[in-house]
Amino acid sequence: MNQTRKLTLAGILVSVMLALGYLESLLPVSGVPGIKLGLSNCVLVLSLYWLGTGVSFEMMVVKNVLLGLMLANPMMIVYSLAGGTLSLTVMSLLVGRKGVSPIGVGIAGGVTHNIGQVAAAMLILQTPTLMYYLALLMPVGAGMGLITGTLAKLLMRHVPPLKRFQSTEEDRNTGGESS
Amino acid sequence: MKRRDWLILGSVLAASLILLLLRPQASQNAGTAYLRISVPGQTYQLVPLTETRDIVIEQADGSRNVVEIFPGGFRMKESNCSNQDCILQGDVTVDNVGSRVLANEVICLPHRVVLELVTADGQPVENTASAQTAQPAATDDATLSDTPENTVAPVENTP
Repeated sequence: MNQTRKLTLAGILVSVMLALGYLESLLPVSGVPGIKLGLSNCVLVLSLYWLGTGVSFEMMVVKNVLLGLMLANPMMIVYSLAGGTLSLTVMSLLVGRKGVSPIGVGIAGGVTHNIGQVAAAMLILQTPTLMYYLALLMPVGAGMGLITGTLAKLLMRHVPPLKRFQSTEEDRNTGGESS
Repeated sequence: MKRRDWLILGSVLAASLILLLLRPQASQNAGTAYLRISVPGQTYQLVPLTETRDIVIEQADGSRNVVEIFPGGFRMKESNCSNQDCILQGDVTVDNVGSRVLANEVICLPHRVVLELVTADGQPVENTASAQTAQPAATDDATLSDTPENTVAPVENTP
């Protein structure tokens, strides 16, 4: 995939994440900070496989800053960036490992996102007791990660853009030669 | 799900189980419960939870929270924050700290406001934290225009 295609796909995926983030903000909230589906995690799992670690990190930062400015306030950007950074770091270490599918990557991402957010909150609010809150948030994060990871796996099976982009390139080349 | 996917899921569930077991159990505290308000740059007196009234917390950046206290407990009544999570966290009372997800706390993340149910000596009612001493005297931050005395002023008083 050449650089232009990579950039285009990254841009499309960021806008998909922003739309999903807005959609999630319309869903009824539980009142418990940190409990949400995290559909953009699904997109980040895909981008880790399709576009690599570097681009995924850029996408995560752009998405969190833009969505924070659109929907929340600057303070919330700090929490989501903390969660996003830890989550992406762990997920990028797991992608491509033997015996780990996108589902496992999604689970690890969901859980570590919550851990990063709680760690940031513990530091900013100076309330160490928040750690016990992870006893609830980690299984929730795992469940949400299971959903988003499964979604990513299904999407990868049915929408393989790398192959599609490559095959169109080949098609055009072979088509040009034969005609 | 591949083999190591299960390993990831299993270790996460094990870790949360350990945290759940380590979580301190609620202690039966006799006596008056107090509310500790933590706001960046401001220190508040412990508020005895013996009457029903509202406490307004205002910060220099326009953040505004209203806490309703009542005998034995409190709740976040109003907040001009973006997600309103603090309001949905509901009542904190001496009786329900053991069953609440956030135990003795109500947290407004965007405004960095933490409300805690504590005993007279500043210990969390759930008896979780280390020996954190309460600050009985109000000391206002010089950088803030609004002093705690002003912001703690009761809005309505129903004895």
